[in-house]
Amino acid sequence: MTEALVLMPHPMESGFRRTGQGGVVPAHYITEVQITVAGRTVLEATLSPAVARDPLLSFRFRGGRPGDPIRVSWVDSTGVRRADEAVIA
Amino acid sequence: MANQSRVPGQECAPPISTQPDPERRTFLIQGGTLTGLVSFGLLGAPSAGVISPESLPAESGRTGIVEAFGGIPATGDQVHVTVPSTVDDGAVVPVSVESSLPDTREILIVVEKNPIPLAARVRIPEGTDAFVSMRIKVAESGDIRALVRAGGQMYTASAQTKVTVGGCS
Repeated sequence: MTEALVLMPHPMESGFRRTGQGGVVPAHYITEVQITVAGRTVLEATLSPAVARDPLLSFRFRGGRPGDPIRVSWVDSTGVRRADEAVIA
Repeated sequence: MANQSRVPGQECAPPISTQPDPERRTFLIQGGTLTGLVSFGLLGAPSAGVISPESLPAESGRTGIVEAFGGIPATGDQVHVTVPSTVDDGAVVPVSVESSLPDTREILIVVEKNPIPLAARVRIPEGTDAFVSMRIKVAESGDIRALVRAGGQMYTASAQTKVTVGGCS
């Protein structure tokens, strides 16, 4: 069993937050996350802005071996995509 | 920051002093002992009828969502929702959901009193435990509900949390 803890620094702005000037901070949040290990999907999630800033996801999967690459990809509400890789310790 | 007010129920995150940049990702991955070899690959079941958080009516609350998914009440040992009984800051509330129901495919986390109740929808492929933990925003005290799709049925369970300062979604 492999335990994964994934931290994705992101403002996760809901679009409800106001500035002192009465303006609204525009919504900006991760919408989709996909996590693969050696090419196999181990988790997929749709997030809303109700996920706290800097989303931290913890989960467990079987079949992971030390040295396997784990890849996290996300896309946010502005269309920005990001993917990063690490290796199972 | 001085120009950012904090109105419970309206604001959703603590004031951000430095603009966070999605530039860096940190992993902490612990390899453990391996049991069996599961390699079914992608999602066992296609995500039929995917509902994005935005597609749910803003005011739908629990009733709308449970109706939309048709949740059957689960017992505590079938679906377990863990949240702190009290939290100071609703902007960062840890929640974890674990299901022992066979063939658990999806876990949805719903904050009943949030403007956007559906916080996250997690798809669990074959080989991944029916468990997920994350941090969510909670606008006010109330139920944190999990919807679990298992064996072609939707189950539901909840836990209460009391929030001192709300962090709306």
